[in-house]
Amino acid sequence: MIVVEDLHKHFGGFHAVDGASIRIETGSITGLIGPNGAGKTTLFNVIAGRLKPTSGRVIMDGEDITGLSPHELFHKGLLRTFQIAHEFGSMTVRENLMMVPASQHGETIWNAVFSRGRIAAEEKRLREKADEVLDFLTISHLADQKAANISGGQKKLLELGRTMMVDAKIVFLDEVGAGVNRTLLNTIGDAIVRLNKERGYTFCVIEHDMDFIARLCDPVIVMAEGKVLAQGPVDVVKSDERVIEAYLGRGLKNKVKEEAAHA
Amino acid sequence: MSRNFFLFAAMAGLYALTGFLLSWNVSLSILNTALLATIMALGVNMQWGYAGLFNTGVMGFVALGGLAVVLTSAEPTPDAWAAGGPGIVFGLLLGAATIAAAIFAWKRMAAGRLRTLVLLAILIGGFFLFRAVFDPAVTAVEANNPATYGNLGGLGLPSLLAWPVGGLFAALAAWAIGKTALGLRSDYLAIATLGIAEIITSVLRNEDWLDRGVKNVLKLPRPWPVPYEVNLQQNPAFLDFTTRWELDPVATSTIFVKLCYTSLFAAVLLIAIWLTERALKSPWGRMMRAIRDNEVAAEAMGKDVTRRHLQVFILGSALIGIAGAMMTSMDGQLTPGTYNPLRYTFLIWVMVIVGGSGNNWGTVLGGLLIGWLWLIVESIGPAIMGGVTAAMADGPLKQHLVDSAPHMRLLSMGVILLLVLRFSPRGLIPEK
Ligand SMILES: Nc1ncnc2c1ncn2[C@@H]1O[C@H](COP(=O)(O)OP(=O)(O)O)[C@@H](O)[C@H]1O
Ligand SMILES: [Mg+2]
Repeated sequence: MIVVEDLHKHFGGFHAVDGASIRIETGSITGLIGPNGAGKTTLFNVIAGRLKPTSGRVIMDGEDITGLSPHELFHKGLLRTFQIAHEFGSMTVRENLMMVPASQHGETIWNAVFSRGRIAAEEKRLREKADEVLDFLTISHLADQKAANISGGQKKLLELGRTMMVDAKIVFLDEVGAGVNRTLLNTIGDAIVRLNKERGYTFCVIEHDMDFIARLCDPVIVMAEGKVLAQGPVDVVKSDERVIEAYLGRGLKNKVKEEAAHA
Repeated sequence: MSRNFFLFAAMAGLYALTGFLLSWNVSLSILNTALLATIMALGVNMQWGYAGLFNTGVMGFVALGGLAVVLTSAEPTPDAWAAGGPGIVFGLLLGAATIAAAIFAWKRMAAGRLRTLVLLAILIGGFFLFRAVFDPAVTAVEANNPATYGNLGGLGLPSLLAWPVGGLFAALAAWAIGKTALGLRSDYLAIATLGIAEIITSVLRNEDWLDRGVKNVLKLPRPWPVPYEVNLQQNPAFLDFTTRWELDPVATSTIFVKLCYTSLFAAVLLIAIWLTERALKSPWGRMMRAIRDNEVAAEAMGKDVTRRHLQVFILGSALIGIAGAMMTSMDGQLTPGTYNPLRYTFLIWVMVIVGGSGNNWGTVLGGLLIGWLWLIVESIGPAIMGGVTAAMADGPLKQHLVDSAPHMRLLSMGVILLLVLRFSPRGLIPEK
C-alpha cells in the first residue's frame, strides 16, 4: 500500500503538486485522471524518486520512502513507466528486457570478463524469461528489432514488459495508452488485468481514455491544478460536480449531465 | 568490413612509407608514441563512447602516470630522506588529517555558528601546523645537492612496476573527482577535470621536492626487457646477427630498442582491447549501454547510475594513467614543463572523434592515424613550408611563414576534425 501525505512539489513559485494526499490499496488497479497539467506526472515523479518533494511524505507498506532514489525504490518493488517512452534505443527489444533483473552475476565487471561460463547460464534464463514476456505481450516478432525503431505504441508495451521481468509490488503507468491504437490498448489492458490477478501486481494508472479507465480501475483519483479533487469508484467520481467542471469547463458541464441522465 | 580493412591497410601503408622514404627509426618512433596515445584514447573512449562522460583533463591523468614512474623507479636518494623525508610525510599526513577532521566536523555537527567556527579553527590551525612541519622539511630536501637531486627520489623499483602504479594514481584521482562531480549536472565533470588537470601539472612543475619541477627528472630506468643500445652493441649474439646480415650495429641497435617498445606497447594495447571488448559484450556492457542510452530509465530499472559512472570513469582514467607511465618510462625522463592540454587532451579527443567514439577499433585507427599525422608534420612540416616559400623573396613574410611551420599541426588537426565531422560525423569506423 502506498500512502501519500500532503505532498507539495513547487517549481519556483509554481505549485505543480499542491498538497495531494492519496492512498493506493495493495492489489488494486487505481486510476489517476485529470486534465493536462494537473500534476499527475509530477506526482509520479515524486513518488518514484525522480523528483524530491518540496514537502510531504510517501509511505510504502508502513515505511517512509520519501526521497529515496529511483534505483533504491526499484529494489523495493516500486516500478514505473514513462509518459514519453524511455526505451534503450541502441539495444534490441529483447535486450531491453534482459537488462532489467537486479544483481545479475554478469553485471560485475570482474565476472563480465572472467566468469563467462556462469554468465552464459544466467543469460539463457534471462533470455527465456524475456521471450515469455514478449509472448505474453504478443510482440515476439519484435524481439530482435532495435528498440529505437519500433512504434510508439510498441514502446509502451515494451515499457510494461520491463516491469514484468521482476516481481514488482506496485507499478506506476504514465499514460500507457497515449499514441496507442485500439487493438494495442486492449492488449495492454488485458496484460494489466492478468498481471494484477495472476501475479498480484498493484497498479496506479494515468490514462486519458475514459473507457479504458472505466474498464480497469477501481478506485479512481482525480487531480486538477495540483490538488486531489475526488477519489472513489469510477461512476461516483464521474458524476462529481467539481470533477466535471475541472475536466470540461462550465460550458460542457450541463451537456454531460444530460447525457448522464439519458444513460 | 572491407572498408575497415582498407582503412587499417592505408594506415599501415603510411607507416611503411615513412619507413622507406624517411627512415625506419622515425617511423617506429612515431608508431610508439602513437600507440601510447591510442591507449589513452581507449581510456577516453570508455568514458565518452560508452558512458557519455566528458573528461577534459586527460593531461592530468597522463601526468600522474609520469609521476608514478619517478616515485617508483627513480633511484633512491637517502640523503634527501634523511634531511626531510619524515618531515614531508608527517606534514602530508597532518594535511590529510586536517581535511578529515574538517569533514568529520561538517558531518557530525549541527549546522550553525558553532560549526562554522569549529571548521574555521580546524582548517586555519591545521594549515599553520602543516606549514610548520612541511616547509622546513621541503627546504631541507630541496637543499640536498640541488644540481642533481633536490627531490625525495624514488624507490628504485623496476619501471614496469610503475605502470600499474600510474594506473593506481590516476584511479585515485578519478575517484576523488568522480565522487564530487558525478551525479551532479554533467558539465560539472568537464569543469572539474579541466581544473584538476591544470592543478596536477602545476604541482609537478612547482614542487621540486617531489619531482624536481622544471629541472626534470632524468635517467629513469627502462622497463624490462628493453635493453640499452650501448649494451646491445657489445653483446656478442647481437654483433653476430648484424655481421651475418651485414647491418650497421649502431643503427640496428636503435631500431631493435624501438621494436622492443613497439611490442610492449602493442601487447598492452591488445590486452586493453581484449578486456574492454569482453566487458562490453556482457551483461555489464548491456547495463552500461542502457545507462548511456537513457539514464533516467536505467535508474528507474534499478541501476545505480552514479555508481556505474564512477566505476567507468575510474577504469578509463586508470588506463590513461598507465599509458602516461609507459610514456615516461620510454622517454626515460619526466619533463613536467611539456605537459600541455593541446597535446594530451585535445589531440586524444581528436583521435577518439575521428576514429569513431564508442568503437574500440575506430579509436585504434584514429589514434594511429592522428598520431602519425601529428608527429610527421613535426618532422616534415618545416621542410614543406621551406618548399612552399622557396620562390618567395627573403623578407619578414617568408621568415614568418617558416617560423610558423611548427604551429601548422594544430591547424591541420582542426581541419581534419572538421572534415571528418562534416563527411563522417560518427567517425571513420562508427559504432555499430
Ligand atoms: N521540471 C519542471 N519545471 C517546471 N514546471 C514543470 C516541470 N515539470 C512539470 N511542470 C509543470 O507542472 C505542471 C504539471 O505537469 P505534469 O505533472 O506533467 O501534468 P500532467 O502529467 O498531469 O499533465 C505543468 O504545468 C507543467 O508545465
Ligand atoms: Mg503527464
